[in-house]
Amino acid sequence: MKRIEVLKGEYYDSVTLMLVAKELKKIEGVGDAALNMATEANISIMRAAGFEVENDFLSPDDLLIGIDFKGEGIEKLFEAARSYLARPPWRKEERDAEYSPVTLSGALTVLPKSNLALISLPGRYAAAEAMKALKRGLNVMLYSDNVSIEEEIELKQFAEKNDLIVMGPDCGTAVINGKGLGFSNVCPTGSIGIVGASGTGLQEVIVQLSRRKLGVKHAIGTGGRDVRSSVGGISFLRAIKELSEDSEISIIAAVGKPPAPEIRKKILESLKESGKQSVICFMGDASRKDEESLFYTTQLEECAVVVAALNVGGDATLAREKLRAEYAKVSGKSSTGELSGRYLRGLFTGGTLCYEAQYIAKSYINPIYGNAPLRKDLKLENSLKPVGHSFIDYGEDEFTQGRLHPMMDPSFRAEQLKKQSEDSSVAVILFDVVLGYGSAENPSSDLVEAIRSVKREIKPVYVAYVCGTDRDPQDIEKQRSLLESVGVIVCESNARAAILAANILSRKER
Amino acid sequence: MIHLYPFERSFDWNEEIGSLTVKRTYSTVVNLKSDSGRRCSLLLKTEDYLPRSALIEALPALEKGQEIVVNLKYVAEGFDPNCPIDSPKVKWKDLWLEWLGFLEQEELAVLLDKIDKPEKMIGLGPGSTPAGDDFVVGLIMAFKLTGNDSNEVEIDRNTLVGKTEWFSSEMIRDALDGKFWRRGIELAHALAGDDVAKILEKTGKILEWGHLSGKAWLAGLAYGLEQSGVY
Repeated sequence: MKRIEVLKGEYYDSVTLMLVAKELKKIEGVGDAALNMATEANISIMRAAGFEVENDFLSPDDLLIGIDFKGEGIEKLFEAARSYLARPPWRKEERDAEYSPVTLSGALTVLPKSNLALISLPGRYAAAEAMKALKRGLNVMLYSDNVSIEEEIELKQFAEKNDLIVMGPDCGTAVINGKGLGFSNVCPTGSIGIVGASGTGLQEVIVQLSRRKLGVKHAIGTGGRDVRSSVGGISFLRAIKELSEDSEISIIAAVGKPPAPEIRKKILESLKESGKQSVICFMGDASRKDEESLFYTTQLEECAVVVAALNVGGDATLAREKLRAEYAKVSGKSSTGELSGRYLRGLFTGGTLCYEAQYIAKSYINPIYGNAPLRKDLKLENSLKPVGHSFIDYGEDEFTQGRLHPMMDPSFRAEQLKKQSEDSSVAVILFDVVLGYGSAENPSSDLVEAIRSVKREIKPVYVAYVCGTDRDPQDIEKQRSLLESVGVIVCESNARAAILAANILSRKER
Repeated sequence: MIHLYPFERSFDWNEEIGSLTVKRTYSTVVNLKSDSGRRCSLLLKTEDYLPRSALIEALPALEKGQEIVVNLKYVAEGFDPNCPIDSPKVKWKDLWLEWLGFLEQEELAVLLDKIDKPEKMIGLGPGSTPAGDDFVVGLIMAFKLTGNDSNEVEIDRNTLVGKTEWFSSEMIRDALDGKFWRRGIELAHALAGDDVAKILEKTGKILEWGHLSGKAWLAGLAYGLEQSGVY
């Protein structure tokens, strides 16, 4: 029996909702339990899971509790859910703990020399708090998404006038003075400075640099919309200025999806003026010839490879050629066993990783649909029902309003992985697993369980990339081994995983 | 008759009180009532120090109503319950303003209606010591710390019993006499100093008091500091 209960006007943070759902799922007879704020996207997700949701009187401030229970007495489970929400059983009574300030003013009283506020609130409250922080003279890392572009422009213009920077909105990753903020991997501190209009793009470059024994001092995120004409690259340009003036930074990397043409021009000029060697990685950008101090790349691993070469006075062209030779070897490994189905499905948690993978795969297979496609006309009508070759970014706003980002709660993507695996038209599934602070404790576990539970004679070929370092808390070797234990092919970079996945299919088509 | 021998005492419990009756027992505290109705306490933990209390190595099994003798001869002084003289520094104002926010919690909202009439707060609100009493004690401490006359809170010590439960009434009487719990005194010392880590630690200790008591006490202190006219 699947039933829904609505708690009107009750807001809970996403972590609480995830934990209550997990707690309910432990109860015998509970097939499914979902707690979501009643956003349009969440209503669709719950409907797709078989819950009957009437949305005539619902607003995003209402909480939906959906429970699937085999047996009598489902009411008791709703009671349990309400009770868990009121008194979370996992919340230990903190004793002998220090007091932590709960307001910005209180925090500044305790740490008067602070110069950065990290803001993580539901989007509709975030901009006002960010402005308060700016008015107190603080730089802002705006982790929240669902902030309007008008608010973003207002915040960034105010910041610029006051010699401050707004990282974000939707800035999930940053490194300041070697300290990771938000989703961040445990990497060495070094002399590289990065500015990026992407979260997992930054993480991938930092991870790939770390694997080449190179550390980052600052990685400044700007939020994906910063490089649009309407925002004007305010934060991107500010970040370049800051990195240029930092004598400890030797090389600057600029990472993201391609900016608007006039913003790209400003960024390149600014990098030239910095007087430092700069490596540009605007994925999907047309290839360009290197200039005196500017080196152009189009993939994240390539960006790291060129930075690493420049750091030791090496030749960027040679470094690229060597990488291409390695990629050719990856393609050569694409002969796998029996393939059933015709399509590639990319199921991602990292937006930039999803974008890069599409960009690479389109050289081999076409068309590629998605919820964040390379071309607008390839946008899926329903992200829960992919067609043909499709890439889904489960970190998009449609999936994160009133629910946890899939890098923190892998369960929803794991359900979709199972669903896609059981689709007989699917031949290959490509996915990412992002490690580091902020990510789930054991992100591969749910995915592995999902793959194990697939009931299909010939399962799809699974190709994955684990974005992490050997110092990340999740234990990268354990994550790889878990995936490999169910036959997943684990690659050394996002680009390599995309090349391999697309090649497996294109070989079949030939 | 059981005789008990503490090893340390508060400055203000320096007399042999002939007859003490066990009023309440907890795992680490025993509250005793004297013939005159005053509270005395035996404690296992230093941090629980309060006026007229003494530390003891172990507590025997005691029953409510049982009469005991506490031997204080040659027992060292360990805790001064008298309110410190130094006022909190203004630079911590934004921090204590946060504590007023505790009153916005649903369970403490009842105090907001009476916030300008402390005498009406006696016995008001949830908790084994009603939250209103905790608020009033914090408020009185703020008055003492800022040199204001605590008579301004207009609480008649003689009518306390009957308005609230016994332990609470004793706590308020002690506060009017300028005597407070160790945790409150330590926070007051911290607020008069410059060590922010100490303030956070001592505030955390106050918040450990019961489910709501610490919050109500801090809100009372903050309200009193704001009302004092000093900041």
